[in-house]
Amino acid sequence: MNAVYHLALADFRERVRRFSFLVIIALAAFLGYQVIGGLFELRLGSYRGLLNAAWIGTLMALSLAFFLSLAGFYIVRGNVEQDRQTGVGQILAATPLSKLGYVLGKFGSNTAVLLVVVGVLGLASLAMLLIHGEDKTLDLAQLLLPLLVFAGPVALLVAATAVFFECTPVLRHSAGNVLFFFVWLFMVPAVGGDLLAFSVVEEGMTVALRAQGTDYQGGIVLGATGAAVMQTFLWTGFDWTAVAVTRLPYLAAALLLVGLAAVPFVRFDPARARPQSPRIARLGHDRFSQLWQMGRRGETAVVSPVTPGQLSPITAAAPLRRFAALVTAELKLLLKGRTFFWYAGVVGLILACLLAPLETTQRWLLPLAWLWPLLLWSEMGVRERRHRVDQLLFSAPAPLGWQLPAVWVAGVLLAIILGSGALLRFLAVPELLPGFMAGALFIPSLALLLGVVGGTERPLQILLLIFWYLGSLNGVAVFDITGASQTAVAQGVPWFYLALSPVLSGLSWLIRRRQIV
Amino acid sequence: MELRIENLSKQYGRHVWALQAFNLCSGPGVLGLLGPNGAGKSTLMRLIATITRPSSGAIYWNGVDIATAPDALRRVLGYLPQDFGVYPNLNTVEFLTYLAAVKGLNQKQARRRIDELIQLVNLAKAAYRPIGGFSGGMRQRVGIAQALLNDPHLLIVDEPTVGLDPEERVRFRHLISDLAGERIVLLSTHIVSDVAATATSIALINNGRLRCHARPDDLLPAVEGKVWGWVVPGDEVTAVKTRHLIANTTRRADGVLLRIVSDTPPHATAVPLPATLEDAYLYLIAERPGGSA
Repeated sequence: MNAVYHLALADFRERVRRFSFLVIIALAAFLGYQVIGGLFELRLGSYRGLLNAAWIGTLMALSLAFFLSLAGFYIVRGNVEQDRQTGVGQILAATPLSKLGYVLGKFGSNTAVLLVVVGVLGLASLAMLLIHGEDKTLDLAQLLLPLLVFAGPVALLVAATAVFFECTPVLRHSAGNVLFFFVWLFMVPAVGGDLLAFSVVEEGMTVALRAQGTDYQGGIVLGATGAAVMQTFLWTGFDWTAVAVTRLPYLAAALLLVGLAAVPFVRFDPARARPQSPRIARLGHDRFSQLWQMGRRGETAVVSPVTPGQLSPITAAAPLRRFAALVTAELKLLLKGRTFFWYAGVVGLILACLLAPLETTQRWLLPLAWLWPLLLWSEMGVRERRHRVDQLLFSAPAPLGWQLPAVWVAGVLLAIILGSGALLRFLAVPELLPGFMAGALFIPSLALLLGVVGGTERPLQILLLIFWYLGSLNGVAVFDITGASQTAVAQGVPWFYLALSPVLSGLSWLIRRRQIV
Repeated sequence: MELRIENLSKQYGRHVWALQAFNLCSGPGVLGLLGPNGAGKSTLMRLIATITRPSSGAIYWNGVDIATAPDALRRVLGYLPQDFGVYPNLNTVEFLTYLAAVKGLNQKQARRRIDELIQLVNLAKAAYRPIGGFSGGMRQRVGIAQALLNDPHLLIVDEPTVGLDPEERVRFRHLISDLAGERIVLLSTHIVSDVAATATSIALINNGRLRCHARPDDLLPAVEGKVWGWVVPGDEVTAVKTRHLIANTTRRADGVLLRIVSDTPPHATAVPLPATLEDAYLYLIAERPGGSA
């Protein structure tokens, strides 16, 4: 256990010393601020609780549990991958540390990071009580225990899920990020009431409300502040021992998931962790090694037939040709390594956009077609750092004037290719073109900015999915980049995103400039 | 063709100076940068390669300050960083083609040159295999090839022989020597034999400062008559090491032969030995009170 403790501690220390941890803390503080500021409200019909320690604690805990259930995963994911990339994993794999010990250590570190977020929200609860409290009695148990009992198990479960995803070969790549979003999307309605503690809170509060002389029968809502005048009732909290017992199965589930994560974890064995592409396998390491060894033993000529003096002269390309070549190279780089099924999906989506009724194309198919290359876009601005090619690129002539714009153009071209079926249809309906242009320009611009700033694929993956879910799927106009709904088109939402695109691209350029020198 | 470094300093944080008041001037030939780990070699390389900016001072390429006009150098720069990566899904040809595009080279000419470079670095048999499956030495050779893509006037190679087997290391030394005709090659290493085999001049760096800049032959007189061979019993070696600068140890039947660099004979039985560049390096780099070994 000593090794597990030190593994978790070192991992936690490494994380809290990164800039990204400050961003997480800022995000948690922002969430707390939003709750304090009244943006989120817990209500039972036209009733809300008197703002005392118990009510504020419960409100904060439910908000946090909901937030952690999705964002928590993306916050903590990445520590196993970090070990893989830095090579620390192979050092650890050569020690007596067991697979279970390793995943427990990573789980401990994940949990610690999320508990820091819980702690920040604890402080926010205190601030809310002191600033906005209608009964400022400082009952710390009722103020903070909801965070621990309701949000704590969610933190543990999310921490375990992140470890499980990272240790499972098919889930550890970017596709896992997308998959988790959809799992969350379907799981929250199914089990969210119990897991996020909405059910138990609803039951307790309804009982309390009725005991105060009402005949309230509806559920509870956690959401934006309603405009209606609210009546208040007194909420004094739970008998926490009884409630805590009902949360214990989630702790057990988290530990079970960690245990399961140890099963597919391959201890950073490169031969097992990364299946070879059929092409590499066909060439065969052994065959190549034989050829190479033959050459080295002198069985064939070792001396290369070319000497430095015989190298062909080379000149610079004309500017236009240079840019075209670079865009082509960046586009190839984006598309490299995609499977046959990915390309089949591209063709299918283009054809579907061409052949489906126009409204279906606008409402469903184009947004879906632009979700298809999400993993490719999310590499923009990230790839060079992830693969440590940045020094080679940044020491080439005019990296800001050529390479970065070429990456952006390649991203836009990818959008146009994927949306080409819809584009052909939209040409006959001019009012739909701003939506197409907005999507084709905004998405790569956002991808590039997030990639350059964050250096990781996750921000775009989660943000674009949220845009897609809220804007395209649920028709929330303000998130509808492509003008999938008529409301968004009528409100001119695509124009907003179209105008935002050059701003985002400009920011990417400025930030990259700071990164280069 | 001239690379001139004037009063160059690089500070990390508030207290760490990677380079301090560094001055150097070099023309065509191989300039070997020699120094222990953490001496500041890689920082100097990154500064010259326009990857990072100096805290103070300037670097001039043919009289042009590269901080204000980095592209003047980047167009003719070949850079092999100490720690670089590759796109694992690309094969060697694709990776080099990509970098040729990034460097703004004529694509038609680049294709031919890439073929030649692949032969030059002995990767012809693996040219169409994804680089992700390469060994460290093979990746290093890809790195060498990319540095030569644009026929650089200034070639910066940082610890280039790390990961190469002895045979490839020898090949690389020959390559560097052949390349050095009308260009400046900056070769950074802590392996003295690599520099001894190729460098036309050597800059010794320690603790972020230039200790000396001279031709290899000019370094030897500094240590002539200061290299000694002394056979001691095995159990006395540790004690001797605390008092003297040991260049080498060889276990023998009658004890351990120590190669000692010292201003004075370490013992009455010690015999003088001919000096090598490695002795000179150790002598000049060593931290000595009063400046003696």
